[in-house]
Amino acid sequence: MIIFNNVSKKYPAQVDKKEKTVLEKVTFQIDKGEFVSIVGRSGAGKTTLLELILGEKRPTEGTVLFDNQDVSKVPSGKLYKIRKRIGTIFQDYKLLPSKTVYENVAYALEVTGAPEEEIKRDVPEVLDLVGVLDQAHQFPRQLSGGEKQRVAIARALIHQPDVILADEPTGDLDPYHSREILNLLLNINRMETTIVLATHDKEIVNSIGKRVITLQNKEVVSDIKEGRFRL
Amino acid sequence: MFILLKRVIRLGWKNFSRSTGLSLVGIVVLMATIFLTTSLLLLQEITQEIVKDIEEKADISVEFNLAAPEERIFRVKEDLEEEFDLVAINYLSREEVLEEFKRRHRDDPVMMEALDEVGNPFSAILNIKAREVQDYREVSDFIRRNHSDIISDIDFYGRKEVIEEIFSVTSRVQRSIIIASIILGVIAVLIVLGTTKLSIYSIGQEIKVMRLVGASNWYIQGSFLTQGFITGLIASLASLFLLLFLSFAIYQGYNIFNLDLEKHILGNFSLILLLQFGTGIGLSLFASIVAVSRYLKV
Repeated sequence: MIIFNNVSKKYPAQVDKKEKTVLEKVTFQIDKGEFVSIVGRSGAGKTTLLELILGEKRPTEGTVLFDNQDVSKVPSGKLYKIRKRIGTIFQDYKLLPSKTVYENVAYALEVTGAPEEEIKRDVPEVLDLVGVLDQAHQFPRQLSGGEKQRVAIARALIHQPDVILADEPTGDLDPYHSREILNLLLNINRMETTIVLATHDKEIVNSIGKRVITLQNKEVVSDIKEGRFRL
Repeated sequence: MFILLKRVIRLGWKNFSRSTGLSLVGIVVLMATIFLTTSLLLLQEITQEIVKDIEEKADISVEFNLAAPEERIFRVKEDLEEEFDLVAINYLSREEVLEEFKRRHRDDPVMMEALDEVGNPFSAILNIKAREVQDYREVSDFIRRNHSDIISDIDFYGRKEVIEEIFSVTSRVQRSIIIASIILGVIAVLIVLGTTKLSIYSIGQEIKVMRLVGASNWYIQGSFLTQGFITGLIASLASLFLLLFLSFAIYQGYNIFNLDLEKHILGNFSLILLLQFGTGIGLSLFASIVAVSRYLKV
């Protein structure tokens, strides 16, 4: 599903700054239906790795394949086709404050041209699935952190994506809500959706008991099937 | 596709209404540009009509000496008919000129009495109408060259000067309008560009979300182009109404040079529409395209 082949990412030197290498010859493969945690300290390159999958950034060397398609070679005008197949969740939720919960999730369908009937049918279903149907008409500012992240997950799920990329989704949450979000992601994974979780939350990673890829000093230092957080 | 188009237009309208103040400034400057561009067309039309009118009225009056024999005058007439392609050449004898004068002043006893004392003071006249206004100089030179001994006066230079003055004034006005249009056009483009740039920045978060959830570049860019289109469309419509209002409501009261503005506007209505909407929407869309390509990262 996702293949990183000798991928390096360097940011060119700028005034007062030397060239910065974020990833160095990173190689791994993620298969369909897997739940993979990408762990590493802050600045280890986890977010860059996810951005490379989304085509937000291009690798300096190597190739990133998404379903056998070289993401770095997809023209920017066609990237949306790949992004439609990927759901993305962020630590800061990235919900639109002027829209209600329902509208935030519906928006993801609207911009891709889904008919109104489909939006009316699917949005309540997904909100129910993540447990925020009762908050459908509330605005993000009226929600707790955990609820906001659920809405973000609902938005990521609404397209029925093949992969969900979660970048520190529990970073702003307390342990209770973090656990809730993790369970939600595990449930989604049971429905054959591939999950890539970038995190530095030791407790969360250790409780999953699934594959862990560890990034350290810009490189992959370990890739263990039923791994634990080791740094 | 239709659903997406509908949503792009809705989003474009939302972008437009979110920055109403700046959009309005853009509309006003665009309106001024459109108005000036349209006035260029109308000015050209009106100038042509004035000149045509003057040309139609233009002719040469050749006055002969009192002593000029009629056969010499007829020879001048024949020479001119041979040499030039004239529309008309009419001979008025001294008696006919006198009769005409008497007819015009028959209610003026003082004039009639003075005329009785003086006798016939009038010269015989040849009225010549050439095909082109520039032919008059050649006709005049020809008469002076060949028959100066029997000529007392040739009257045509006055009209030529009027025509040249009209062309000169019109050309100066046209140049000023073109310069003003270009300056205003550049200002309008900069304002619309700035408005679009602000819209792009103000919904940066929304754009990011759009990209993440798989909105196509066309969808994201389309909303800002729609915003530019709406600005141009409103400016064009407002300018059209302003033009119609000014033409029909105000200028109809001042009938300068017997100009029929209504005729000029209605006669060129499709061209005016094209010019108005072309300038308004064209400039505004151009500015939006520049803003989108410079400031919108998709």
